[in-house]
Amino acid sequence: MLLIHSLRGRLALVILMSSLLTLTTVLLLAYQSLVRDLEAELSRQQAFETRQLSNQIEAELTLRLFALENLARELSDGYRLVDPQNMERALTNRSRLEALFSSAIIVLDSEANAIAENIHVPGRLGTNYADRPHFRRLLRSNAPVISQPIIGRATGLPLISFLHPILGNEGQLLGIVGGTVDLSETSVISAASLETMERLGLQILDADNFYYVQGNPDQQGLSITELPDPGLNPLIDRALQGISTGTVTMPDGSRQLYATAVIPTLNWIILKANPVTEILAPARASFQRFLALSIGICLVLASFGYWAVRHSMTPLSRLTRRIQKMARDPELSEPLPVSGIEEIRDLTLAFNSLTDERNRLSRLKEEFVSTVSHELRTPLTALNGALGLLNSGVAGEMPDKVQELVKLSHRNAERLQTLIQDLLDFNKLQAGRMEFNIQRCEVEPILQASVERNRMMAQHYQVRLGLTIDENIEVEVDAGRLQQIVDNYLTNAIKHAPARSRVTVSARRDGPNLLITVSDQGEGVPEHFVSELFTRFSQAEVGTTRAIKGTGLGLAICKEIAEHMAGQVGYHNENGAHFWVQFPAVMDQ
Amino acid sequence: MTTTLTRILYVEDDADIQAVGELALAHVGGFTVELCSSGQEALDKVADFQPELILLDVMMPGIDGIETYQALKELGHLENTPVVFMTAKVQEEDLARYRQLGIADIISKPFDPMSLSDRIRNIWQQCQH
Repeated sequence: MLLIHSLRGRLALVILMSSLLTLTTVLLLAYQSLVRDLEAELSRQQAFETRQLSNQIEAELTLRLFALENLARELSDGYRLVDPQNMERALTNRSRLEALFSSAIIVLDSEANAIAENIHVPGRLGTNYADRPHFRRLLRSNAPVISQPIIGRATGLPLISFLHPILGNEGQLLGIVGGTVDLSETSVISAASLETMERLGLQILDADNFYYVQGNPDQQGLSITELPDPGLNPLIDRALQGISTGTVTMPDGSRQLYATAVIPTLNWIILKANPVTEILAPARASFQRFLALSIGICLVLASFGYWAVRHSMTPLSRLTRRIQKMARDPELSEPLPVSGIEEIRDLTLAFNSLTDERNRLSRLKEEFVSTVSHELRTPLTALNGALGLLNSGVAGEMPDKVQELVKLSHRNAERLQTLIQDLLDFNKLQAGRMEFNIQRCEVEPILQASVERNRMMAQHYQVRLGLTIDENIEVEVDAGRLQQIVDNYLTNAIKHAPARSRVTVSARRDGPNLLITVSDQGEGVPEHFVSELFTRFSQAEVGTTRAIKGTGLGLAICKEIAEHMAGQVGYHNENGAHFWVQFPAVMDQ
Repeated sequence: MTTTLTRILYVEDDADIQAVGELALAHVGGFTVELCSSGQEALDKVADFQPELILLDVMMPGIDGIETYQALKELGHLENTPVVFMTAKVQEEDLARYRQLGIADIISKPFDPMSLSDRIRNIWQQCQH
């Protein structure tokens, strides 16, 4: 989840999402169009195949009628039928005819009584067929007839009968020649066609007799069954309704694409149907392949996008780290290397010019502080010196009131001097220009000197000073700077301690450290201010009984000086304020 | 060689500071002080006065403390006379630069007039070792 909070993650996500969205849309549209085209093409193909089959069957029927017509010519002399012997001869050993009419060839007289046959079937000769509908049709019209498939009266087999009239020279009906085809054995449809039908999902419907003829792989040839009742097979219903192409949903939920063609002679319907899923399988497979490939490409693109953005953003991260480092360490002011993409280069250049400006301002500030403080110190030297001399009585005795005012002036001149010193020290620390002469030194003389130096001030504030040292510990510090810290703590304590109270400087070993504490018996620092105590320009607001004197830099300077000498500063309140500083003590070997 | 310091040449362009310094050195310290207001004046007076220590302000109009110091050294007879700089400059790099010249010490301004003489005496004694 962190990824989307970064620019590179977001861009990669945008690339991935937009690619996937585009891809999905394009693929869906392409798939729909592909399906439509495939269905239309298959529908055309189905129509062609059914038409072709119907033409083929039509041709087979015509061929048989033509064969019967030729036979009929041989069976009369133009006035009457040939005698039985010639008729027998004309019917036997006619392999071509037998191939065309596998079941039987029979000759009937003009009353439709069977008078000759090529294959002997007991009880057939002498039978009258005039009651059969197709015979009736021929007797009425004297024209050739093809029957609907019927169950043979003597054979019990599904048969198609072909009848041709034997006509005399004057067109009178002399007899009838008939051929029968057993649909279950030989067919008007060749064996090859049957296989093709099976494979192609072809069916033949006999619309008049409601017979349902279809290829049956278990038997040789065709089987004939009754057509299903309307509503049971929507495909057959559609075909019988004369709707020649389309799709239909079957009871099992599958969709079928179908086409039909009619054989007018037999009123048969050739039906071809294929499941839509089967048609679409190749399209679906290629669609899935394409989808997988596209997702792969998308992922590669997104990875590339992520990499490209990450690569572009690296200088930005470097820039950020550098700026953070510069914020922590003001001394770091080197310009950043200009690299990366244009926007980042511009940003770096802008940042570098900002750094230059910062450095310039910093130098200006240092110079300003240095110059101003120097200029201030010159008159202060004269002022402080003169007041100091007056105060000490070198210039002679003064009346009490004058003495008091001179003391006041001297005190304030010294305060001004301290302020300027603080400013200078702070400036030096900030610029990293304060020098430290770190040496091994004893702590006792340093603390004694500090106490002595502040005794006058303590007397003025009516505060007693005390110094307690457990043992004379040695530390490695700049003695002058340590004195500066202790002086600062001491003057603060004296200023804030109640009159007639005690301020104590104590030094003791605390584990591996030397701990110096300056304690007073005052109110201490207000709780809310403790955390700000050692930060620059901070001064606690306390009662008006004693004014706060200082720049607010003193403690910040102490902290920085201590840290430069591997020390630490701190504060705690326990029956008064306790300011402490600690340094690693020098361990005796 | 004398064992106590008595004669100090004090060069300071600021009249007020000069007055305070003179009081501190002459009245508090009891030295014999010859006052000069410029580097040139110091160069003019040094041969007659024969100081045992020279207290020299650094920032002065005309020839400044450093140039004055170098000119004094060129006179030839002051190799053993300690020169102490007084300056309100407190930048470490300035102080380091001054020390490289070979001066005895630096006293920063503002100075404490009551302890100035003791300080000077200490510096002079260190130079005698």
